[in-house]
Formats: sequence, structure tokens, C-alpha cells
Amino acid sequence: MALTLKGSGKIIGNKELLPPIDLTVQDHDVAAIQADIEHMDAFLSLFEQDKSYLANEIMYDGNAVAGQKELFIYSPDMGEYPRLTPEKMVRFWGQLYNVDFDTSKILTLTELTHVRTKKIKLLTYYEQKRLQFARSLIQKTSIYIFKEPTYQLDLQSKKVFNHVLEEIKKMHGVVILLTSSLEEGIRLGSKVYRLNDRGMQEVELDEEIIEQEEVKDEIPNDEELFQQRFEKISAKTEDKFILFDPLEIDYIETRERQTVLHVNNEEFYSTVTMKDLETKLLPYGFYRCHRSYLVNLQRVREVIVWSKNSYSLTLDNRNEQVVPLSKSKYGELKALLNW
Amino acid sequence: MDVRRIRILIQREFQDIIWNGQVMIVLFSALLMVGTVYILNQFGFNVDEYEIVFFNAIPSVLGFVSAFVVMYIQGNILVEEREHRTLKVLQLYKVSRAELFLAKSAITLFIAMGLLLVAMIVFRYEFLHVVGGLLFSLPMLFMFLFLGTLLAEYSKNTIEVSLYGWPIIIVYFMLEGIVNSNLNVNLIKVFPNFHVTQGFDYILRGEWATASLYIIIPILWAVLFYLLLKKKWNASDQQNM
Repeated sequence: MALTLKGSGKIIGNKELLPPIDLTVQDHDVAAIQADIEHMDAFLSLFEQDKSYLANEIMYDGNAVAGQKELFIYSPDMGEYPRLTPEKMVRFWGQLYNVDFDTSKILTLTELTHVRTKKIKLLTYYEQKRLQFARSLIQKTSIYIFKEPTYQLDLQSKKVFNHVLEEIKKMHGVVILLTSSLEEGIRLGSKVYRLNDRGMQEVELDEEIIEQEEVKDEIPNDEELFQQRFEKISAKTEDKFILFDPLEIDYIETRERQTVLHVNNEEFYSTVTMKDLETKLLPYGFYRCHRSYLVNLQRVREVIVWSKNSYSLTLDNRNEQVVPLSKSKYGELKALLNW
Repeated sequence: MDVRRIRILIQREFQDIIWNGQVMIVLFSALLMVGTVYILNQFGFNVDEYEIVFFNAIPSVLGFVSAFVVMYIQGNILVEEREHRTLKVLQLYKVSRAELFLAKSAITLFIAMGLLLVAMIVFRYEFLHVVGGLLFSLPMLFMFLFLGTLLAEYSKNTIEVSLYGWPIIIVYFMLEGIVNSNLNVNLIKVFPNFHVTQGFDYILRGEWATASLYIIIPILWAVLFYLLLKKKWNASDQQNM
């Protein structure tokens, strides 16, 4: 069983809001789509407008999806009744969908048991978001779409969302995650896509090991490394090159085939390729934690284990940025850092 | 239309409304108003040869309950779905606009009828007059129910409902003042206030046939606001296409 979008796009007036998209998401898969807010909204509107269904653009298991009533949609702009309690809210959703379920189990899973009789308006922002996640466990459907589910969430709520995703994956159905953060997409998705004006491109994740081997072949031996007289990393701005001391850099990311240096919560585009940077920065304590990321290990404060397949690194900087850590790199990093 | 869903929506609204401060203030004001009308009903004053009376027993209570309670509560509880961003969730739960409107209207009408009943008991109405009075009140209640729904359609939040609602209440009570005084203004016959006052007079006298004639104009007003509401709903539907 799979969800299929065929050539769906959105044009208003002369402006193409969303290029034509061909997407297939298999059952039990989580497709994470990284996009800016405009493309995210345009993508979501495909599922919210009747004409997408009338034109048979959205198919599940070979059959046309009848309408948005057949899907679960989570969006940060959805709210709850502030004068009700989480317990009453969950029961209300259950009654509306005419499903029997264990309220306590859902509240435990979303870590809301301690506030079950507290009015929703008195809950924290994170608790309110977790309550919204509970909705996905009540509405039994085949297609789940989450828009920015972990945006501005605390660690506990992110973990709760992971558990919720695991529960959804146990049932049959497909999950689409729309996120502005590629890191979150990589962490949560089994397949990751980028959506922009050029359309939808898959971010390759499974080639990590092959890539790693290629990179290893190209890395010179230790002696050669130390023979290099390398001190600065260059980044190009409008009319000048900025030269950074390697240890100033928090992490480096490849984004749309460009190398982005993250320095003090600012981004700078470098003309040097990721492979070259990895070679140059290895002696400075940089580590290729993911195919698209090179992190300064001096900056790493936390290694977060979301599940046995999902890891992240939290950096010790002002915004506590999070960088994905590949499953295959976890053991290697553990040995390297000796923790 | 799913009756089970409407029942669930009504249950939820009842759980919610008892903690709704705005609605509780409106209810308290309405009960206070019943007592105030009862007292002020006995007083009036004269300007030259004209007698000015502001409140006239049940017709004035009905005016207050319709304009203040029905319009406000209906407007508020409907717009809260948008304000609290729960409308989108309900739509995903297959709740249609008609189901939501019926659930909210049931709550609003229940409160309004309850208040009218209390007022009629205070004014020592007989059982038959209570039944007749409640039936006669329905077009007025529906008129303001549609008006409240229309307000909610045009408003983003409860503040806007209050903002747009006040001019309507002021105009209604100005008309009420004219009806209750012996000023000779023929134009007043176009508005429902005059007909409500006349109708209740005939109900109390037991002249049911004559009283029923005065229900026509309030029904026409209710139909007018229903058509305006329908027009707004159609426009919204076309916008969402």
C-alpha cells in the first residue's frame, strides 16, 4: 500500500506556488519534506482543497482519496478548547470519531497524566502541543500529515513525538512530515525530500556508507595531513572573502549542493566542497557526523538518542543548535569521544 | 447531517460554557435585567404631552434577551471556534457547518428560553400565556440567532463580535423606547419591536387570533437575516473553492 501524488502542483495567476510533484510514500514509511513555509503551505493546500481529490491527484492503495476527511492533519495553527481539560478533550475527540480507546494510555504516551484534570489554558506551550499529538492516536486513518510538529519544542516533547510516530508506524498508514529544518527531517524521516521552486528532490541517506568509503579513500594519511599548512577557511559574501579560524566554526552543512558554514549562529557560503573541508578540518577535531554535516566536536554538548535508529548532536552555542548523527556513525563517535 | 455528532458538540459546549466568563456575565446581566425591567416597568416620565417609558414588561425582556443574550452568546461561541483555532480541527473531524450551527443554536436557544421562562414567572404569567409567549418569541429569537451567526462570520474574535454588536443593540433599544412611548411614529411599524409589544398585549388578553397577526413581521425579519446569512455562507464557500 502506498500514497501517490501524481503531478500535483499549484498555480495562482501567473505564479507557480508549487511545482508539479510526483511522490510515492510506502506504507509504514515516514517521508520528511524540508521546505520553506510558502512551499509547505502550498503542499498542504493540495490536501486541503477539494479539487485535488476531484482530479484524482491523490491516490492511496491505488484508489483515489475521497477528501481531506480521510486524512489526519496536524498544523501548529490548530488549537484546543482552553476551558476543557486534556482528559475531556481526548474523550471529545474519541466521541467525535466514534472510537473506543484507553484515555489513560494516550495521556501516558503523551506525558500528560499529571495535568489530565488541569484546564488546557493553564498548560505549558509544550503540553498543549503534546495534546495535539494525542489527536493522531485517536483518529485512525491511513494518511498522517504533520506540519512543523517539532518546531520550537523542548526535548521531552520531541521525544513524545518520536513515541507517537512509533505508535503510528505500528498501525498501517503513511506519514508525511513537513519541516523547515533538514536536521529534523533527517532525524525523523525514513526518506527525506527537499521541496523548493525546482520541485521535490530526495535527499540521499542510504548512500552514507558508500560515501564514507569513498571519503576514506580520498583522505590522505596522517602524515600528509599534518604536512598541510592550512589555517583559514574562506567564505564568500557579496564582494569579499571572509577567512575563518577553523575553531570558530560550529558546524558545516551541505545545502542544495552548496557548503554552508555555521559560525556564531550566522551562515556563510563557502566555495570549498564538503569533502575538501573534511580533509582540511579533520586535524582540528571536526567529524563527519552525517553525509551532509561536518561538526566541530569541541562544540558538541549532548548526544541525544531519540530511538535506536535516530540520534542528534546538540551544540554548546547560544541557540543550542541540533545536528543529525547518522545511525552508522553513532558507534564510531562513541569510540572517538570515549564516553 | 449526523445527529450523534450534534449531540456530542452540544455536550462539549455545555462542559465549556459553564467556565465561559463572558457568557456567565451576559447571563447574570440578563437575570439582573429581568428584575430591573420589573421595577422600571412601573415608572415613566413626561416631556410636554409625551409619556416616555423605557421598558415594557416581557416585550422589553424579550428584546434584551434576543439582542443581548442570543446575539452575543451565539456570536461569541461561534467565533471562539475560529479564535481558538479549533474550527479546522472540527472540519477534519467531518463536522459540517450546519451541524456546528445547530449545536451552538441549541445551546443559545436553551439559555434564552430559560431566561424568558424565569421572566414570565416573575411577571406572574399563567401557564397558557407562558406557552403562547414562548412560541410568539421564537421569530425574534431566530432573528437574533441569525444575526449573531452573521456577526461571527464577519468577526475574527469575541472583541469584534462585541464591537459590531453594540450599534445593533443601541438601535434596537432606541426603537424600543419609541414603541413604548406614545410618540406617533408610523415608521416604527416596520420594525419587530412594535409587533412584539402588540402581540404580547393580545396574548395577555387571550386574543390569540389577533396576536398571531403580529408574528408576521418578526418572521419576515428572521427570514431576511437568514437570507443574509445564507448569502454570506455561499460567498465563503465560493472563496474556499
